Amino acid sequence: MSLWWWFAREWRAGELHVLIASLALAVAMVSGISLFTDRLTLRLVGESTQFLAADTVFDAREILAENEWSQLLSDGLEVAQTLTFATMVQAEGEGFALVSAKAVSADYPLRGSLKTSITPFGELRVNDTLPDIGEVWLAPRLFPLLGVSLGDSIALGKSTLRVSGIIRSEPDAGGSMFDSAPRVLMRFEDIGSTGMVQAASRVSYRLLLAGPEAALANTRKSLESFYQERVRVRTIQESQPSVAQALDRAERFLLLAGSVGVLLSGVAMLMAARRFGERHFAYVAVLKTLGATRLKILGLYTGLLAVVACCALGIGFTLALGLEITASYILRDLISSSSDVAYPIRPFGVGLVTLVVCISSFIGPSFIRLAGASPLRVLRQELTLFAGLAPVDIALAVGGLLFLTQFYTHNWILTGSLLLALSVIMVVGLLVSSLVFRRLVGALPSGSAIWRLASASMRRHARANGFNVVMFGSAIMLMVLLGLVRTSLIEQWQNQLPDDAPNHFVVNLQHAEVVAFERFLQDRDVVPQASYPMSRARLIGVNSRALIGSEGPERQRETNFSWTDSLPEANTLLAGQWFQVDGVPEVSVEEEYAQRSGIKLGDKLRYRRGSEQIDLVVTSLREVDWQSMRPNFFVVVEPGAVPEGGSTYLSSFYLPETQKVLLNDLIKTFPTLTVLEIDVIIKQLQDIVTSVSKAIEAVLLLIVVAGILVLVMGVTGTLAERTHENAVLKVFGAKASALAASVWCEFAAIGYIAGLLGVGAAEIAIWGIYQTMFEGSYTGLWWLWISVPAVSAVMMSWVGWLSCSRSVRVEPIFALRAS
Amino acid sequence: MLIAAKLFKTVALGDQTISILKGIDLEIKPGESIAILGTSGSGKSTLLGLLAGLDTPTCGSVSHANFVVSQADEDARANWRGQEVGFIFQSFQLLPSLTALDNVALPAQIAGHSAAEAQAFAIRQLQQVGLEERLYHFPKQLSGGEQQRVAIARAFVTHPNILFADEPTGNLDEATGGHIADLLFSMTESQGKTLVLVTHDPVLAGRCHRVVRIRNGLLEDVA
Repeated sequence: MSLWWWFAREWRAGELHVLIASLALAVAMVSGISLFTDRLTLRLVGESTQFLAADTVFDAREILAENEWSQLLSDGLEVAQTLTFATMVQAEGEGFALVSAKAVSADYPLRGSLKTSITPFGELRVNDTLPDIGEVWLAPRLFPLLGVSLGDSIALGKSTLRVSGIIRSEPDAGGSMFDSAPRVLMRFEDIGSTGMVQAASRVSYRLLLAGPEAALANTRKSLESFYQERVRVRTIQESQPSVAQALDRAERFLLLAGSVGVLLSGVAMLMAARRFGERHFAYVAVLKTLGATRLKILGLYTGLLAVVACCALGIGFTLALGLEITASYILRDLISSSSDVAYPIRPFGVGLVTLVVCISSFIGPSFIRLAGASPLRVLRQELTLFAGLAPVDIALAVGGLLFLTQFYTHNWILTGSLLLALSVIMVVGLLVSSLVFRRLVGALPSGSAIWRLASASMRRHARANGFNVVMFGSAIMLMVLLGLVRTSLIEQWQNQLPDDAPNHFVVNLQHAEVVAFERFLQDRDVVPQASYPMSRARLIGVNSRALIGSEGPERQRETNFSWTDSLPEANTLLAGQWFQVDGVPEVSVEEEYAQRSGIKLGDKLRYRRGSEQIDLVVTSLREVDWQSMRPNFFVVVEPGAVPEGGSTYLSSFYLPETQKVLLNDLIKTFPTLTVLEIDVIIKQLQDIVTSVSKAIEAVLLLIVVAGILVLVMGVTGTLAERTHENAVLKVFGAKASALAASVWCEFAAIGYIAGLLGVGAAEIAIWGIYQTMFEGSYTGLWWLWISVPAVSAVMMSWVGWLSCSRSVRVEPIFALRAS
Repeated sequence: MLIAAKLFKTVALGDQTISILKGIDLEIKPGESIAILGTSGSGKSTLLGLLAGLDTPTCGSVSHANFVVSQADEDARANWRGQEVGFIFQSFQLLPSLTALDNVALPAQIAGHSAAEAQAFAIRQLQQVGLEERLYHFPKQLSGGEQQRVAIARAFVTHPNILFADEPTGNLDEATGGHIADLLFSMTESQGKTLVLVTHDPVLAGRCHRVVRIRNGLLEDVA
């Protein structure tokens, strides 16, 4: 018997449609989600690379010789160099200023763009050129400080350079947040002529690379192995942890959503496969009667399954691409990627794994069981292929669900919580259904004719209804769970990044200027956040061990620290105690910084600030939420432990886009200030939240579709039996209206019980999810226990009626003939 | 020769064990037609299932030529059925997704013939039962009598030696049932097949060479 011949006939009979649809839906859901998140990540990382001005950056404290690194570069990479150093510049009119000079090579920046203005505090414009050799661009505040204007010259070391532009921001300026001196942008080629950079000069050198991922990875390996400790690598993940973490969390959530969708599709598959198996039992019995062996049947159905799988895979992948293209189109305004990104292969692999697991766990068992079906069915029509759920079926289905959840989320606690919740639903669902449908319904007073019909129908279908309660309960649990997690996730993100989160930081504020600065903002209806004192010191000793040099883990380190008497917001104490009034000069250190520097609780640290030596005792270790977008410090010192002289202040405030022009006045009023505009990063984080929220809504829609598929599958499973029963009841005088009301009653009861179960199990599962995804505790929502069962009862009775109305309307004579 | 020796069949029904067949001995010669009569629930279909190798006895044996049907595994019995046995059922048991032609060709394809060969055999059989105009109709487009004629064509397509018929006219009206019975007996006799007919209709049973009745799990000869 030809496989294609068999498939064509099965296809015509319509038996395979639901199987292919549910499989394709599962594949489309996970592949689509993976494709969307992968491409979103690629796009956002692409966008974020502008904060580095490159894809990968190698930091060094010396100029790296071009003849060394150029030999280690892989093909296809773009390269640029920058060199930043502090120096004095002198104008022709005798004005002096300490500046932060940044020399850049011709291709800088590789990602992002420079912003300039025509007048010192004028309108910002994107600029894709650089100063010519022999020219410099100055930061606005240098113009009044030096008393120069465009076209004048300044002396920098031995050379004289012409002022040809005004530099307002560079894409990678965030990396030198505390580099408070005003910027002078010049060409790398001019460094030699200035004679300012000697072998021992303190400089910050960066080698910027951009290009294909593989070439970057190879080059990174070569450069790291060649330069060892002399270079530090920075990628977007390392330099923008807030963006990287937001993306990571978004992907985890979307995949959790995807796994819920697959679980629902899995339930639909299980039910469709069982129906397929039951219907084909008669076929197989005839085939066996006609001489077909088990192997032949197995080969036939395995082949059929392979064709089904290929169809589902093709449809699923096409749908996934469609989903991703639609989502990208909807979000095109949010993600203004300049270059399009490739289609990664991984999502299709995820879809393939999903397909294989779904077939092995949900569909395969029913098909395999057909091979062992008894041919005696041709004589005894009452024989069924499935007498309830066999332990091996349950084990395979649950095993498949768990494998997929673990595969998507890589989180055992989450997987365990889902297992627990599903087990509760299964055990409690079957117990409760048995109790309600067999005992309670029978024990209730008989009342009206409709109720008698409904209760009799519930008792007759007690087993099928129990199965439906478990299936719908699982579907409802998964949907409630996802809805709750989605709301919590978005709320948490929005709380973390409220609309008025500080989006501008100010450094280099002098002690005497703090009050005037705050008044300046208040007068313009801008709310200043708390100002933090900040000082820069060098760690020179740990316990009585002196640190020498600037290389290796045991090196001296320059650190910014602040002092405060209370634990700052977005900080959590991990070990030790917060500052006590005991005369001991205390210090609190951020945990990762402590690990990197080999600092432990109780260590005595020696810092040098200018000519002073400061001794401090580590009395606590802190965890800092770097995503909080608030001023945070690695080292916080007890007030009074360090003389306050020599410190500057750090402050922050929220400035809407429309008031940006205020910055000009601010810098004019406080010329020594450096303003860091992080509104771009915040905007990007908010865009991720918006993009992901929309994606989650799209995924939820797919999940509701999967849920409805489960409902319809469950209800139509008993349709033939119901049609026959209703026909018989009609023959004996039952009215169609009474039968219809009976259907509504029965399915409302199933929906209500499934809703209660679903909420209960969702509450269990969500505990695990809160533990792992939100690091918080979950307090139950009482209104869910009222609304979900009610909505579920209405939904179920409606779907029940839509599916069964035909069985009520059918003329009894037709049904009896059909039977 | 098809031989049943000391056949017992018991089934468990909850806590109870019910004996359906209690030691049946039966020998059916090649070319013989035999009717098994009995009331509903007497066990006649159970006996047919055991004789045709669709089920295995609790005790005793069924053998045909040198093949011990009751001791063979399921696949060996399937092979034996494919080569030696044809079936006609009360409820026709046609596959609804297949046309009349495909239904009839199915046993030949299972037996290893190519699709073209099987279709050629099937067309010949359908012509014999007078359905050459209905080759491409699906079962639901055929009347009950026509469906049973398709089933007869299917039973003969592989030229089996034994035909098992379970109430072949049970779902048909008297006139149609009569035509079907005529067709069945004429084809069986003209081709020298062994016919095992299970029925509760004494008139139909009377057309067989031999009639036995099953009562209380045992067989008794009917004159």
